[in-house]
Amino acid sequence: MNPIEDRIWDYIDGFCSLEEQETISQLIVHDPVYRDKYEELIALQQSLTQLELDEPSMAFTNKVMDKIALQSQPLTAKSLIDKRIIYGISALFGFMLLACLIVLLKEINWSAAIALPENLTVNYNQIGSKFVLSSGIKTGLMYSFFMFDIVAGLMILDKYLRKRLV
Amino acid sequence: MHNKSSDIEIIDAVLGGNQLAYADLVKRHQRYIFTLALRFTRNRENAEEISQDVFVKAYRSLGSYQRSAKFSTWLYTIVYHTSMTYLRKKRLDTSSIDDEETMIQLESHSSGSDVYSAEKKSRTFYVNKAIEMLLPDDATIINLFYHGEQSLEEIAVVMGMEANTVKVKLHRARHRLKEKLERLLKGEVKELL
Repeated sequence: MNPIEDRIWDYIDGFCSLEEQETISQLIVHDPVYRDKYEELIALQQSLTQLELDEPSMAFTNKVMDKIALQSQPLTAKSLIDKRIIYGISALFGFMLLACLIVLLKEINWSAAIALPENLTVNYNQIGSKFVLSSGIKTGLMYSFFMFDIVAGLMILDKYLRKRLV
Repeated sequence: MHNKSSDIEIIDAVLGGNQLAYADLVKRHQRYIFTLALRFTRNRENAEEISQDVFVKAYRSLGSYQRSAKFSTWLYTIVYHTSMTYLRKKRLDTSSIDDEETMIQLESHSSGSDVYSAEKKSRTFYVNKAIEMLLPDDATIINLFYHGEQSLEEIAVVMGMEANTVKVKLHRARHRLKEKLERLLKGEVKELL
C-alpha cells in the first residue's frame, strides 16, 4: 500500500482533520508527486461515482410481490414476543428479589441496631463493626452480584435473539 | 406532484396491512440490491434469485426492523448475509472467498485486449469489469460506499466489522481496483480515466 495514496484518499473522502486537509491541499499544489497522484485518484473517484447500477429483469417487482402474496402479514416486534415469556421473566425476577430481601432481613443482627446509645448519637465506627458489615449485608452483596450477572446474561441473550431474527 | 413517501412511511403502511405498498419499497431498492447480489454471484439469474429472496426475508422480518439505522443499511445486511450463504453453499467458504486464486481464471479471461479494446468500450465498462474481478468483499465495500451511499459506520454494520477495518479494506479495495484496471488496459488507465 502506498502511504501517499492513502493520505490522498482520506483527503478526497473527507476522512482527515482540517489541519491534515490543509497540509495535503498544499502538497497537491506544490509537490508534483502528490499532484499526479491526486489527479489519478480523483479521476478514478469520478468514474466510480458515475457508475450505473445494474437493472434486474422487468418483471422483478411482480415476481417479488407474487412471493409476498403467499406470505402472512408481517408482525411487529411487540406482537412477535410471547407475553407469557415476559410474565415468566418478571415472576422470576420478583421471586429472586423477594428471596434476597427475606435472606437479608433474616441475616441482620437486629439486637445490634437496638443497642444504639440512648441519646441517639450515632457512632458510625461501631455501626460499621456491628451492623453494616454483618454477614447479612455480605450475603446481600453476593446476591446483588448474582443478580447483576443474570441481568447481563439476559441482555446478551436478548441481543443474540434479535440478531437471529434478522 | 406529490412527495415520495419515506421508507418508514411505507413500512408503517405495510405493517398496517397494506401489503401492496411493499412494491414501492422493492422498486426503490431493487437496483442496489440486485447490483450487490451480482457482485457476489457474477450471474444475473442467481443474483435475481438472491434479490427476490432478500425482499421476501425483509418482508417477513419487517416488524423486527429497528428504526435506529437506515432501512437501506438493514436491507444491505440481509443481502450480504444471503449472498455469503449462497457462496458457502457453492462450496466457496470464507477462506476461499479471500483467496485471490479463485478469481484468476475470470481475470485472465477478461484481460484479452482484443475483446475489450479501448476504442470499443467506454470507461464505465472497464471500471465495471475491474470491479467484477475483485473479491466479493472488496466489490461489496466499493459498491456500498459509492452506490449505496453508506458511511463507513453503516458498512461496518452491514459487514459485521469495525469501522476502522472497513476504512482499511476500502483503501485496499480501491488499490486492487486500480491494479486490475492497469492490467486490463495495459498502461492506458490514465488516458481512459
